[in-house]
Amino acid sequence: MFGYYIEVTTANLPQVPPEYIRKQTLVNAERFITPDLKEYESLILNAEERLVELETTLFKEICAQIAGAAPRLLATARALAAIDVSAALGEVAVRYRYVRPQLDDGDAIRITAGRHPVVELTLRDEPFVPNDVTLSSDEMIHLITGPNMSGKSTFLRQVALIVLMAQIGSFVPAESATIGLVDRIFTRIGAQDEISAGQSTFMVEMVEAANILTHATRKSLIILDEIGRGTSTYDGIAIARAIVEHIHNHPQLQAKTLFATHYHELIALEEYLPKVRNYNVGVLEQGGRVVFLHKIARGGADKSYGIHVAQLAGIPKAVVHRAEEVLKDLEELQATGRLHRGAGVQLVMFAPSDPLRDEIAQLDVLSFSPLEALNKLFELVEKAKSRQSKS
Amino acid sequence: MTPLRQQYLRIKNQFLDAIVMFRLGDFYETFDDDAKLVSSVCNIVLTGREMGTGNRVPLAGVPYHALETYLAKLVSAGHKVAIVEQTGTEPEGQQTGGRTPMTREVTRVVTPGTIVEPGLLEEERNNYLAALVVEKDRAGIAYADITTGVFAATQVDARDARQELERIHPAEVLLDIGSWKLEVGSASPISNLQFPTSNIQSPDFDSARQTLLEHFHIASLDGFGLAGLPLATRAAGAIVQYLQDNQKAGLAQLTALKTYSTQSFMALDPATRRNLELTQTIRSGAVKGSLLGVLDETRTAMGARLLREWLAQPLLDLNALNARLDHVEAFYRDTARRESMRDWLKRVSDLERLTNRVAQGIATPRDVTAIRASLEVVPRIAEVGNWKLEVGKDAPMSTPQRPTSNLQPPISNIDACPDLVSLIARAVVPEPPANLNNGGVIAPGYSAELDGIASASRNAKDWVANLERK
Repeated sequence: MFGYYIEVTTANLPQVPPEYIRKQTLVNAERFITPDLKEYESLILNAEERLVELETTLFKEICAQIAGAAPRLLATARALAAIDVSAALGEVAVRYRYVRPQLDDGDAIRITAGRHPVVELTLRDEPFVPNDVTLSSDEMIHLITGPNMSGKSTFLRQVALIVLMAQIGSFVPAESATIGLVDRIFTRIGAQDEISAGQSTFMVEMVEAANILTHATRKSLIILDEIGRGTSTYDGIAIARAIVEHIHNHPQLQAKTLFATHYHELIALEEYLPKVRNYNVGVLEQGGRVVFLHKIARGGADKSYGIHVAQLAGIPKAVVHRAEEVLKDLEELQATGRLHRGAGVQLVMFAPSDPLRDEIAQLDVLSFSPLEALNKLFELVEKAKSRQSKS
Repeated sequence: MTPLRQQYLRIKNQFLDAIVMFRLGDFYETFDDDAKLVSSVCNIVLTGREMGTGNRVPLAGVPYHALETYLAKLVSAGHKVAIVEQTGTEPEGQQTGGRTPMTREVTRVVTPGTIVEPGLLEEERNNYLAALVVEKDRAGIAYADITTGVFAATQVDARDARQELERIHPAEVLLDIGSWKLEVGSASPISNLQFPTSNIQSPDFDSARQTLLEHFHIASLDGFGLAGLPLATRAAGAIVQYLQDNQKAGLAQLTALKTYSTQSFMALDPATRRNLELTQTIRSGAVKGSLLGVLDETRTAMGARLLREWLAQPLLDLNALNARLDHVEAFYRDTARRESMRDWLKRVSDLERLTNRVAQGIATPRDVTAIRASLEVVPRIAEVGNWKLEVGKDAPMSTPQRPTSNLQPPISNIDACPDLVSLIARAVVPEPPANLNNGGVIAPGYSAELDGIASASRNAKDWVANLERK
């Protein structure tokens, strides 16, 4: 127990005054208190208890006063937060050479020399290769072909990130950027990440694609990276192609779309879908080896370079060589027509115009007699049958 | 069975879905299944305690001073914890025979969405409690952060509920599952939610409305924009009710409710947020390597939280965006001012959470002096910030000044609260102790009564000191 006392060594005990009260005896000393000491002790103890009590009360009062000003304090706190974010984004813009995007309510996205904000900071030995992009109602869908590892995915993500950064009020990694505000960004990227979730890769892909086709509008930006990959090649190509046609032709969709694929068969779409543009990732062939330029250029890739990637990845020379032979055989087969590539016409789900459909749409059914109606129906069925056999 | 055991069981029966931590002396004890759970989650020894003849029950306890550490483990594992304190110095009731235990009651229920301890919170993100109420094909969503005072509600198509919940990224979700199962069926878009959830019976519209009116002391909810949003109202009511049940300290910090429409923000589905690695990488889940990792050059926890919110909710409003860009451009163009602003900001503490701790009555003396220190920087910041009004004059690229939206408060909204600064300066010593247990917090000269006691105590001490010298 806390307390004041006077300690007297055994040698000095005879000099202790009579009013001292013995409290405790130790080996070579005794401890005493006096009435005065006792009184002061309780004064000190009481005072300390009262001090703590009173301080607690006063502190609560102070806190209540501060709490009364909470709305002002919180408004200040939030203003400081907004200033902090603006200053931070200003700092980032200077440090990484960003520009202010020009925003408007139009449908176009124009980016000159855009960069990927994260990837450009991770490159050490080589400079990041910037890329341009123009997506508009005339150049709505970009089909980007090129081998894996060539930088397609980085390009796709960087366009989405630049748009998103612009729409949080940040400067963007580009030389210039004009962004027509986007209501929604959709991505269907890579198939590797969700496999663990238990669903089949292909099912995941299709669920996400369905979501995109249902919800996208002409104000949306769609990023498709290798859709249709989780199934057989022909299924994949067929689905990919049908999706592109749907986005292109459906009046409610018409969304700006970047579609990366290694199916270079799809580049044929540009010929009959007016808003499709082919792009490819630049590849330099030097003495049988392939160098990726990471530059997106107009035009479709003429081949997939898959075998070159295999070589880059360290597949034994003998295997690479054999693969080249097999590829050559396959290409010759296709040239002679025995192995036909694309199931062209059947896959046109929303062809821009269809005479038969137009004819049906123009029929005025109410003006027909029952017999006329039956005859017309017969005629239409015959037309449909003859078209089918032709193709 | 001992009276203590009876008291424990009576309390435990009211909190069956929570781990009950029962204060006994210097320990918070848990019993029975709670003890087994706590022992395994916190990796502490499971023992037993005799509670009546032949009635030995499992027990695991943690020292009172280490409570926060163990709370952190339990809460981050998604558990709800009810804290039972001794609340009276008199024995409880009139019990015959045996020793009667002191009065004890649950003073607080800690859940992932209602924590207030700085040690349990992540500084750079909000800690939201969310509620989801579904009826037919519509969903009401409300969320609140009691550490910052944010409280918002919206109503969406039920199919979009998951997307909005993922955007909010709450620490805990209250689900009114009853209406869900009945109306929407098994294809629930909220299956496999990765947030801790509690099933609740959400209040009906009338009682939700009443709860909110009483909480805000107002006569109509229309001012909050809740008119015509019955499910948003119910979700907001559920939040307030849940907090009232679990936070005895009161909810003074929730002073307003913001109604918003998801239509005013760019929609981003969960897959896209993940794919674009906005706030964390796919591979490691780390902030580093994400877009946030590149952009987060903020100097305050408040700024870091706001940037995260901005990234989660890109805007569709040209004017609001240009206002933000104007502010960024102002800092972009003037390096000296940007640097000085960032230096000042570095000295600002988490004013938002500090203020809420004061409002909740859980502030420490050091919290109060931190508020003062932060407010003292504000005039310097305002001085530096005034310059931004000149944007557009010497900046050929910038667009003309537009009316700023409420998303970016103009600099004039900053109140340095000089009255509070001087109050705190007068009342609290500059470097107070961590708590009030031993005094020494209130500055001399603030209270005559306190000074009187202090000087009497000092005199007595002097007398003793003199005696020692003699």
